[in-house]
Amino acid sequence: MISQESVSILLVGAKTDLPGFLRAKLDSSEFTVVECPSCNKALGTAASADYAVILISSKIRFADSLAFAKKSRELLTAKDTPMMLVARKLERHQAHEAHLSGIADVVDEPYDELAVLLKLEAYVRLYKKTLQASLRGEIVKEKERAERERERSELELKSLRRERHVQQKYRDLVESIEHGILWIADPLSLNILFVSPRAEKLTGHPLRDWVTRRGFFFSKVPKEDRTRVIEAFDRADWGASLNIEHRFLDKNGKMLWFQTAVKLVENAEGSGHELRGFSVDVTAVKNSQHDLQIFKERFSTVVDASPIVVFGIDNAGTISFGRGRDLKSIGLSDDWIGKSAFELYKDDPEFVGMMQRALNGEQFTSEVCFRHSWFQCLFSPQRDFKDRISGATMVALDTTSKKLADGRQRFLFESWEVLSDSLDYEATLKKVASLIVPRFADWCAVQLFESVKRAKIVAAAHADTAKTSIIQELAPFFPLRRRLPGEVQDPSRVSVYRDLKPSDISMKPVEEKYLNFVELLGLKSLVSVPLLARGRSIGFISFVSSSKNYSDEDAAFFEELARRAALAVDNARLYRNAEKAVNTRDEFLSIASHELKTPLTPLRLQLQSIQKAFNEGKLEYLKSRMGSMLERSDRQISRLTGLIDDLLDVSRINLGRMQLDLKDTDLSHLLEEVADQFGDQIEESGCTLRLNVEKGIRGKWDSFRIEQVIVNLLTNAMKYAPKSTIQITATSGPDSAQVRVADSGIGIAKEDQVRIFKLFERAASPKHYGGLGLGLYIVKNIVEAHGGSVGVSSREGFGTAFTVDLPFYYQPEINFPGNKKRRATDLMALP
Amino acid sequence: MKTILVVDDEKDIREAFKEALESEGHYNVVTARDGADALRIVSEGLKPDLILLDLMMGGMDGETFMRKRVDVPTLTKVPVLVVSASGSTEIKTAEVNADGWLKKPLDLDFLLRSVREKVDFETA
Repeated sequence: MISQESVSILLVGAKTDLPGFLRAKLDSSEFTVVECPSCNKALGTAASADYAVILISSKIRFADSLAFAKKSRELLTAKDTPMMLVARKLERHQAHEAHLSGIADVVDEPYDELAVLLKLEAYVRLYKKTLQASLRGEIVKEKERAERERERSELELKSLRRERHVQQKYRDLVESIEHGILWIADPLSLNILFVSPRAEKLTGHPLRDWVTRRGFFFSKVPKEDRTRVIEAFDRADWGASLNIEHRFLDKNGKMLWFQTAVKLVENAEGSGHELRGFSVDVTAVKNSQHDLQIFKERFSTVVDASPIVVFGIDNAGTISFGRGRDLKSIGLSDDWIGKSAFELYKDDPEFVGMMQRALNGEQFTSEVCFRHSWFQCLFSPQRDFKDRISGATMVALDTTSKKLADGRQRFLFESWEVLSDSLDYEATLKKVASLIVPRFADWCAVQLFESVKRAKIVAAAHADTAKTSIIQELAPFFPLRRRLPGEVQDPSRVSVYRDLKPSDISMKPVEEKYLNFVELLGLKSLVSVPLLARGRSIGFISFVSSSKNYSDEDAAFFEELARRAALAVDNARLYRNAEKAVNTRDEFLSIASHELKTPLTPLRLQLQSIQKAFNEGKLEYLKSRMGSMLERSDRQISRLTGLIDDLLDVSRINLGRMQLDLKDTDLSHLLEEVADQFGDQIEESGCTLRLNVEKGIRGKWDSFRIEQVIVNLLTNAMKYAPKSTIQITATSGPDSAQVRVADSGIGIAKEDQVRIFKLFERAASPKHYGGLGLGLYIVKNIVEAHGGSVGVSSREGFGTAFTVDLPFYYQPEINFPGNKKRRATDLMALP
Repeated sequence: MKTILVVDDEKDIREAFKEALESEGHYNVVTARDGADALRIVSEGLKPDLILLDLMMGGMDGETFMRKRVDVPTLTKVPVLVVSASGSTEIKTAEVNADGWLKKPLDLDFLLRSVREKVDFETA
């Protein structure tokens, strides 16, 4: 098959150059001769196809032949093709050179025609055999090659599709990122080379502005952020992206927030680098962050301004946040964030239990006490977006003051029960003091005035009972006050002192001893509250804290407590006085009845005796006795009249209805008359009367009342100083007259000298001395109605002298003594 | 004749008693102005058959007299009638351990009857 096909021979030169026999051979159909006139042409031809033999004609220069041979040996197609040089005449060395150049066969004249032809045929046969063998290998190779080619094209197709798909996906992705802009920039100039179409939508800047304007990106970053952004882009490197948050102005000048990630990558051509950036519009997030920040700040402000404390824990009980002015009052501080709440409150299992209840999903409120403060707490579980419990929050409202106020209210109520429980107010005040301490004060003292200047501490208490007695040591300085030079302190006001030192206390004189006492008792804050009863200060309560300062609420509470205590003391005192008045009145009634019955006894006996004698016809007896009997009866009637007059006078005085009949009166004459009138009685009492009266003392007086005064004083002297010398002296001064009635009797004790002028009062026992006890009261009132005064000087066992000072002229007030306050005891004496 | 000792600080009362009792004809009345006066009279030899005693007196009062009476042999057996204007005469009488009481202002018949009862009973 192959043998039948013609064999291609490459001829460098022309057929005509060849000898005849060879030419004839080559003209047969067995061969196809390709003539190439030049070596260069021949080389190109040799490279393009496979030839059985290459013939080089004698017309080709020897040197060119050698060059061709060498070059053709480099060609893939011709490197093994046998070459025959058909030369005219060759030197031996030339033939040798030709062999070295790769020309296998060299023939020259005279040609051995047969040998040349045989050689040629041999070459062709060899070529054909080689061709046959190689043809078989070629087929197998061709098959394999075709197979490989198919696989390769399939792979290429797949990868092409995949690439297209990836490209599409990438394009879709880039396009679908609503808030993101993908861009590529030159790493040196930072000019944008490419930008995703979303850029126009997001910023309003046309895409061409992005890619054509130099430094466009940075021109839209506000100055404040620009340096930072440029630096970041400069730092961008291979590998991980670099993130930066910055602002960006849109076309309308609106400020956007971008979060840009930049990275250095190889460019598509692989010829250099480019900066690839992805800017995400985070304006909404940023704004919501801003809103959140504002909300957080407002929330904090609200929490800080309110008595609310908020804190949160996570599932494990770790404190995640805490906020509130009073964070400390629930035992929390900033240090505790991140630590375990269970650990912090381990001593308060109840509270830990509550937190756990909240972590178990329960929402509830409860009242919780932390140290000294009370809180109304709302416990709530906290849930994450999957509705799982992620922690718990506690909102606590400080209810201490309310609780405190409730407690105080309750205390006031209870104290009222204690205060009104008994009329023994000293015991009551002691009880109150023990209630105040230690609940409201570390120590306290209650003092009551005994007189204007003297106050007595009737109750005191100290939290440390052993120190209570020390309080008494400070008695002279109560109510305790801060030493404030020149300041007049209103005793009816509440005084509140804070941050005191012992040396601040006003003391006269200041002594180390007392300062030590105060130190020992403890002093930080002091509230001194007056005990006011019916507008009068009857004492003080001093409340002292040695550790904290009292608030105005505390002071108000103490004031209220003191008000109640004062009221209780006043009530008890009024009751005591009333009781005493009732006793005095009862005693008076008993004395009055005795006094009234005494003159009635002889009167009745006389009258019945007369009647009896008359009935029995003892006329002689009657005749002899009648005179003295009637005289005696008349005396008793006078006495009764006197008693009744006294009672009426008291009644008049109390009602303010004692009218004076002021007339020109001769006091000296009046005194002499009284002395005459009482001569018998004085004699009977065993007394001696000495009259030492200045003549002609005259004034405008009510002579009847003045006589009453003298008689009262004189009869008192006879009664209480029997058998003594009674001296009545009368002198006139510049404006007034003085009458002195002195005796040498039993005398009047100092403490009784004021009392005796009061209603129903008498110094001596009524057992021994009769009388209603009204005399001196009437005397005092009559003298005072005349604008005068009455005094007493006495020494027990030596005698008594009453002195009456009477102004000569006095215009008494109408309805005397109507402007005088009546006492409770006066009112009880009214008929 | 029975001797009655009247002790009262009121002169008119003493005289009224004396008048009323002596007019009966069989009583001899001796008066004293207070307890001390009465004791003095007794110590001078008077042996009364009855004592009418006022309690509230200036000087020695009735109560003191009753205490002192225990120490005077001639007086221990003599009945004492308390004469008083006080509202609590009965109690006082028991307190001072007297034998009876008369309330002021007293009725003449009641006085004579009481005196007669005491004197006659004691002497019987």
